[in-house]
Amino acid sequence: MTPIEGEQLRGHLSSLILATLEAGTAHGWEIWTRLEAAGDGALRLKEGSLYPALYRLEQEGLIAARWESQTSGRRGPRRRIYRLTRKGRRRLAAARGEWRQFVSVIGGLLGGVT
Amino acid sequence: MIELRKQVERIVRPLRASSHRKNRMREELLVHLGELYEQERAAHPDNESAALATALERFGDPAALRAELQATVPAVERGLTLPIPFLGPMKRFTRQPGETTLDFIRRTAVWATLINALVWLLFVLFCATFLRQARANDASSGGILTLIGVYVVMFPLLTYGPQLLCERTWFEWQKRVGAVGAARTRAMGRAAVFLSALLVVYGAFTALFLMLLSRAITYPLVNNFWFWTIVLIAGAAGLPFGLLQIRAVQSWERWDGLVIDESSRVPRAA
Repeated sequence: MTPIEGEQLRGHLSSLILATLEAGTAHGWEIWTRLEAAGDGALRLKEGSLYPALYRLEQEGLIAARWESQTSGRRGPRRRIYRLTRKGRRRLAAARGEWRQFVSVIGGLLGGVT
Repeated sequence: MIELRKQVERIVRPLRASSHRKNRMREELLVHLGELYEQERAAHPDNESAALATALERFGDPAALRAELQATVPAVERGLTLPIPFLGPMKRFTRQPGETTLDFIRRTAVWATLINALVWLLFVLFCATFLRQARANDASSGGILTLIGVYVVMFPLLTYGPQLLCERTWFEWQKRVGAVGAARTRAMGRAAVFLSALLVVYGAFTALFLMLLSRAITYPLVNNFWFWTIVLIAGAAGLPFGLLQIRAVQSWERWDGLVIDESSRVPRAA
């Protein structure tokens, strides 16, 4: 499968994060593993780049975060758990609509995709 | 693993952001990097350095990540954390990465005492020149000079002594983690003793200062009810300050004290 990377992926990262959080709350690493699993190994992104995207989404009020109350029997730093907000759900729905329109228009122009 | 923390520190330390925000970033990035490293360790069970290099490579270039993270810091916060040029020399009085507490205390105490002594000498000269004739019989000038003189002598002890006590408190408190039975009780007991000593130091400093002040203004203070009230309040007020200091020691041990090369190069995977 041709890897999806760089700006091609970065432009959709926010929507992809919102989509992964639709499945339930998750911390950064878990969000990444969900993205990786859903992308079937085709998504190529430096993993640290996930966090600036998360912080931007949080600032926009699309996701909310809280510190894990306990370290679940493990030692080490605490995890920050993210969840989708109502505003984030609306944004995700809008992003899906825009994506369908994009695929429909561009697919029609390029041909072969319906 | 210290290499992971160093990588996180390479990314976060130069950021212009509040320490609260930076600490949050540090914790989150470290969790992710730790998981990443564990995954690579499982893939390279016999080659720890390859696992580390691949994990760092996958995580991203520190300079690029730093730029992305910096863009998420609000403009106001960036402005508030701008380096102030004329405060540059003040950095000499902050603890340098890799410096031991004792070295730091020794270095800064010498500087602080010299500066204080200079101020005291200027004050003596001022008194000698301008106040001698006008207030020849006034004991208050001498009292104030004594007050400042004692402060100059006590300054290193009273400023940096608490830092040592804070560090000892934190280390003993840390020891309780993983310790069991009597060792745990002993570590917690020692931490409590160091914390109490810290409060006594704050109280004692206030008492000494007030006593000298009362001599300077010739007011019988020691037997005064308010004297002891103020001393007790000062001791108690030292508690939050001491806890803040202990937190600073904790942050120092985990992050700020790490010696990192400022280059953003990622080691090549073997």
